[in-house]
Amino acid sequence: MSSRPRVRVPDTAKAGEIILIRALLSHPMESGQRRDSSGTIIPRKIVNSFTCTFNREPVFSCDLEPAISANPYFEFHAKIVKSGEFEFAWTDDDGTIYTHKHTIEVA
Amino acid sequence: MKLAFHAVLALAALNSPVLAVADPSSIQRVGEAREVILGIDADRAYGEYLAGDCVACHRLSGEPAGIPIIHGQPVSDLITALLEYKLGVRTNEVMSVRTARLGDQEIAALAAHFAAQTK
Amino acid sequence: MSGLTRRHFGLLLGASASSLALPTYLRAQEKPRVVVIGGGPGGATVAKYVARDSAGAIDVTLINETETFTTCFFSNLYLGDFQSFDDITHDYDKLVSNYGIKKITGRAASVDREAKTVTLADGSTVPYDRLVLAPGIDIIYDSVPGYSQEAAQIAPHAWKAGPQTQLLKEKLDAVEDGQNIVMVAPPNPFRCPPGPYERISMFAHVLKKKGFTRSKIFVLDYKESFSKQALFTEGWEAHYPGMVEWYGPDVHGGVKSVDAAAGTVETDLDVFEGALLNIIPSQRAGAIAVDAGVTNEAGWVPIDENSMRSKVDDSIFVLGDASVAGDMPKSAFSANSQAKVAAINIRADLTDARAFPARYSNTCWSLIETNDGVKVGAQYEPKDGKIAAVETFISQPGEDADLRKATYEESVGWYAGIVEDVFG
Repeated sequence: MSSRPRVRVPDTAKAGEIILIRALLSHPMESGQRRDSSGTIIPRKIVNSFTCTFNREPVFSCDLEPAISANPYFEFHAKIVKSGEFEFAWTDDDGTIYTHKHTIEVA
Repeated sequence: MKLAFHAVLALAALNSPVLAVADPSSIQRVGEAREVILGIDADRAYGEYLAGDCVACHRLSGEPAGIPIIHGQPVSDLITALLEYKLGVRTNEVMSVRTARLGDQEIAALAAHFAAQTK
Repeated sequence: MSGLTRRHFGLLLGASASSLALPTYLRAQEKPRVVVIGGGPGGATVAKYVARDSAGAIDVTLINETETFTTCFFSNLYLGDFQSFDDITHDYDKLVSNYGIKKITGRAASVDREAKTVTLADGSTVPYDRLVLAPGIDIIYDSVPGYSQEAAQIAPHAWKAGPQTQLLKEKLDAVEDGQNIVMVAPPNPFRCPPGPYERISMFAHVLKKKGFTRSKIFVLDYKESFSKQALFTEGWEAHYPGMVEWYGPDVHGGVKSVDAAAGTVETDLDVFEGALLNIIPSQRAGAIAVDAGVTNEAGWVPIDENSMRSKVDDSIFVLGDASVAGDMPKSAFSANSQAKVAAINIRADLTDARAFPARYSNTCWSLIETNDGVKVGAQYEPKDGKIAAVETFISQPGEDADLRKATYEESVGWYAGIVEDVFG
C-alpha cells in the first residue's frame, strides 16, 4: 500500500533550460530478506521499475532492486525544449502502477 | 576463596544484567588492585563530590528497579565492583564508561563514601 | 544519613577559617546568598547540593515559574501510556523542608549584574552573591514560517513540558485510523537530541496498539541525520513497518511553511498533511539568560568548562540546556551532572569547601517499543577549552531482546533516581 507520489517539477521554464525533477514514492520496499519476530521470511514486495516520460517519450527510467530502501526518492535533471506533460510511473511487484502527471509551460 | 567471593557478589545487590565469563587472571588483577586501594587513606570529601555522578541512577532509597543499590555496601565489595567494570570482568556499557577514568584515589574515595551512606 | 558528625566538624572548621577568608563586602553574621533561576534538573540540583553540602552555611533561594515541575524527560513515555502525568510531575516540598531552601514561585524578569539582584515579574528583588541561571530553553516560534505561540495551541511543540504535553496527548489520542501525524524536527543544537525520535516511536506505539493500519507518521527534519538513527530506523522497521516516513532536507528540500489550522506542512517537494501536527522549532537559552547579557550570538550561554561559570560574569553560573556545554547534549542527565560541578565551585567561592577537577557524565535512554530500550552516553572532562567526551558508548543494532529490556529497566531505575536526586 502506498500513498500518492510526491513530485516536484517547475510549472514553467525557458526553452533550453535544465530543470531539476524530484520524485518520492511512499512504499515499504520489502526486500524479501527480513524475518518477522517468529523467524518467517517477510515476502518481497518492491517497486521494481520507475519511468519518466515527456510527451510520451522516454526521459529517464531505471529498474529497482531489493537493496533500495523504503520510500524511494529520485532526483534528476531534464532539458526542456518545449511545453508538454511529464508522466511518472512506478511499478509494483504485484502489478500496480502508481502514476503522476505534471504539465510544464515553456515561456 | 576468590570463587566464593564472587558467589557472594552475585547474590548481593550489585548484579549486572550481563556478566562476562571471568578468566582467572582478570579476577587476580582485580584482587591485587583491590588490595592496593584498600591501603589508601580515602578522601571522603572527594568521594562525596564524585558520588554526584552515581546518584542520578543509584538512589539512596527504594528498590533497585533495574539499578543496584550501592549505599551502605561494604567498602571491599564496592571496590571490587568498580574494578570489575573497569577491568572488563563485568560488562555494562554505562558502568564501563563511568569506571574507565577512575584511578585508585577515586575508587577509594567513592567506596568510602558509599559504604558510609545508610538510610 | 551518617554524615552528621563529619558535617558538624567541617562547619566548626569552616567557622574559624571563614572569618579570615570572607571578602570585605560580606559581614561576618550574614550568610552568603545563592539565587537559582530555574527549578529543573539543573537548577533544583544545584540548589539542593549547595544547601545540603554547605550544612546551612549558605542561603539558597530557588525561583521557578510554576508551583510544580513536569519533567520533559520521560514525557514521551507519558505520551506512550507508559507513565501518567502525575508520575512525571514533582513538587519542591522536600527541597524546602529537608534543606531549608527558599522556594519562590514566579518568573524572574531581569538581572542587574552590577547590583547583583534579580527582579521578579511582580517587581520584588532578590539579592545574590552567586547567581545560577538554569532557565532551560525558549522556543523560537517563527524559525518555522507560519508557526506561532497561538498555532502551538493547535499544533503543539510540547518541547517544554506541562500543558503542551497534555495537549499533545489529547490530540494523539484523538487520531483515527487513516489519519496522519506530521512532525517537524529541529536543526542542531536543540534540547534532547533523541527526543523527537523517541516521540515518533511513542506515536507509532499508540497507533499500533489501537490496531491502526492506515495511518502514517511523517517526519520532516531540518537535519540530515539524527541521534541513534540506525537504532531508531531498525526499530521502526521491526515494530512499525511502513508507518514511519522520515525525510531529511535532501528529500523534502526545506520546510516552507506550517498552517496549523489546515493541518499542513509545506515543503519544497510537496505539502504534507496530518490530523496532528507536532512542530518542534529551533530553540535558544531561556529569556532570562538573554536579559542577563550572558548569551552569545546564537542565543546560548558560553561557560568555563572547569566550573560552569559564565565566561562573562564570575558571579554567574549557567547550567543545563541554556549552556554551551561542548560535547554534552542538552539533557536532564547533563544538567544534573553540571549542577554538581557548579555546586562545588560555588561552595568553594563562598565557604572553605574544596573544589575538585570537573567531571561530567550523561546517559540518554530512548524507548522504541515496549521493552525495547536503547541508550547512548559518555564521560566528559574539560579539555582544549571545552567539555569534551572522553569515553563513549551506544547501543548496537541487532542487540538481543533481553539486553533491550534490561536497558529499558535501567532507564526506569534512572528516572526514579534522578527524581530523588533533584527533588528529594
